[in-house]
Amino acid sequence: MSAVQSAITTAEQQHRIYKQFDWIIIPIVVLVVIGAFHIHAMLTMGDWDFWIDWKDRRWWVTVTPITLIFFPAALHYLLWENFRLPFGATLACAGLLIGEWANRVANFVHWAYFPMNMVVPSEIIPMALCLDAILLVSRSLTITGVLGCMVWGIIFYPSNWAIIAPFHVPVEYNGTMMSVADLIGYNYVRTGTPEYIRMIEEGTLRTFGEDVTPVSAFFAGFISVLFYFVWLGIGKWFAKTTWMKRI
Amino acid sequence: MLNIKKTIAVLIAITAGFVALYAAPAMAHGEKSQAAYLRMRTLLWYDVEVSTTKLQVNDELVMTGKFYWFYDWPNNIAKPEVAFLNIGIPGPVFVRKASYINGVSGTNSTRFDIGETYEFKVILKARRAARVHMHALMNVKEAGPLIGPGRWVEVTGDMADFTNEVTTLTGETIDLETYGLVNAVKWHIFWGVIAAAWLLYWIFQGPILIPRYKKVKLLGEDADDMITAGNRLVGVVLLIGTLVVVTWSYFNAYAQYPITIPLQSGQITIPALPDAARGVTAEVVDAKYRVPGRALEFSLKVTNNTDSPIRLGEYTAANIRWMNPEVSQAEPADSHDPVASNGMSYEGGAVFPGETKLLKVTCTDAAWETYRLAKLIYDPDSRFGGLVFFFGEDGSRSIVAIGGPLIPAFI
Repeated sequence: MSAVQSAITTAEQQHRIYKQFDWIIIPIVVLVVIGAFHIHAMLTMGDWDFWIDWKDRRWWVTVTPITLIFFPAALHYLLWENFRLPFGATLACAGLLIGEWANRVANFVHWAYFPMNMVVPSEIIPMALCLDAILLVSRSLTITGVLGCMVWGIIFYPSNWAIIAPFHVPVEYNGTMMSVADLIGYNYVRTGTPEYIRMIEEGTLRTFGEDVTPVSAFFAGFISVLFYFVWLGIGKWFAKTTWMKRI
Repeated sequence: MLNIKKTIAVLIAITAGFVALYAAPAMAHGEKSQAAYLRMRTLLWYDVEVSTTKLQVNDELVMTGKFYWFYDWPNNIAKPEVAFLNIGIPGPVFVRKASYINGVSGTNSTRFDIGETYEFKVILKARRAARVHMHALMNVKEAGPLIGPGRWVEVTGDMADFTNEVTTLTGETIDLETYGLVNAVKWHIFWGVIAAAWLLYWIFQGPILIPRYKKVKLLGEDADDMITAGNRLVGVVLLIGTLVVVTWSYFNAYAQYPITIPLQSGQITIPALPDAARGVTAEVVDAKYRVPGRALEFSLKVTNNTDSPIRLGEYTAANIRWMNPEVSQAEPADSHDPVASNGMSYEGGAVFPGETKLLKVTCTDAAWETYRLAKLIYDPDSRFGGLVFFFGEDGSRSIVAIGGPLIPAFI
């Protein structure tokens, strides 16, 4: 007989311990995801998500889905391979939005005094729900990567149009036509954000005219597919249980 | 024995005390931190004025002035092929209602010519109570912000009274402070609730971490069997429901806002003002910076092609003004306006029409050190620049850009 005995002697005790373990670990994981994903988002998509006058039909549509696929992919690997839980993308994106809203309200509005409508985060939950749902239905990370990430990229702009459409209504201002978003950007002075860094419709893609958004969305989906698999690998590396030999 | 809680509390109190005593409010925008050659040989601002320095929320302030793109532009700084007239303030204390360069709206970026002068006007509307040091500012693509003179401005009143209304081309009058916010929050709440329901659906299926981990390892390749038909049905409903809502919201927004345009941006070219030299030429023959005396001394070969005798009244560079009070007088506008009221003197007297004369000019002031312009002598090319202002007896003013190598005199 072993000199060390488990304190758990009944199934009921075991169930209670498992539940307590969940209640300790899940909030910690959520906080870590909020913090880490938020830092990642600010360093990659940054201004594209901060400002209403940066949510353009070309680069915002391209950059945001690509840079945001990283954490959902890594969490998909961790949660699916180890727990068969299909909510990695929603957990990551909901966590990011909690962090973004806290940041925008506390820093952008109450500290720097920008109006809230200028700094509303992009809506990314629908993309995450689709990615998770496709994983659950297909039970395959490969299908999720190929099909889910195309959907992820393609529905980003439609998911946000309900929010940004009012800001694309035209205004005549000092002899120039601007969208409401442009006007907000011009009115509310940002010392380090001159107008010229918003000149993004350049190159041959501009010849697509109004159809530039679907092209950008498909491209975003395609690159998201590639990065999904890269970040599955990174998720696999981070999900190693080197020191946990036995539960 | 050491009381840990007490020790931590004392350390926090000491730290808080140091922070409270040491931390000072930001007083300026780091204009002194920019290299001296950059401030002297890129954009030279002058005649910068604000219409008022005390105003209420919703009142307007007008900032006017001129700027000259220095002819001897440093080769390591990007030229102003694309630039944007801006304002240096800590956040939107004001909203910018209009900006003009030579009378042309400055909503777009602009291409400027080196060696030319432009005038500007910016109309600002006070938005929140604050006392701020505001600057004229020019953002130059790939060069960064070139900052102009600053002024202390105080806004009083309640931000809650501020409105920023505009009428769209579709005939709707909106307040830009709040426009579209309720709609955006509504959608974020809607999707947030769906996301929360989805996460809770899984989290409340009992303990999910250790039991599921053990089961996955136990089942190995058959671990997918842990997903039930009911789970998958939920997944199908979620997928289809999400796509339906997204599609509906997209077309509904198009129906609500049938007329929309893409974000606008662009560049314009604005013709420069007529030559401000008005027939006067000036050329630096030699120049030295006397370190012990904190003085710039230079010889200036001046030719007067105007109809009136002219005398030298001012030298300005890096937003600092050295005045010759016998010819032109100016006092600091506020505590942070660097004006050396008696900073300039020269030998040579008036330059008469048609005459060419050598003037020996001295510009002295502690500002050479306090504004870190003396650092110029440690630059790899050690060249200075600035504007000299000549005044005619008829009240006319001729402004000439000067510059050249600068030799330090250490003893």
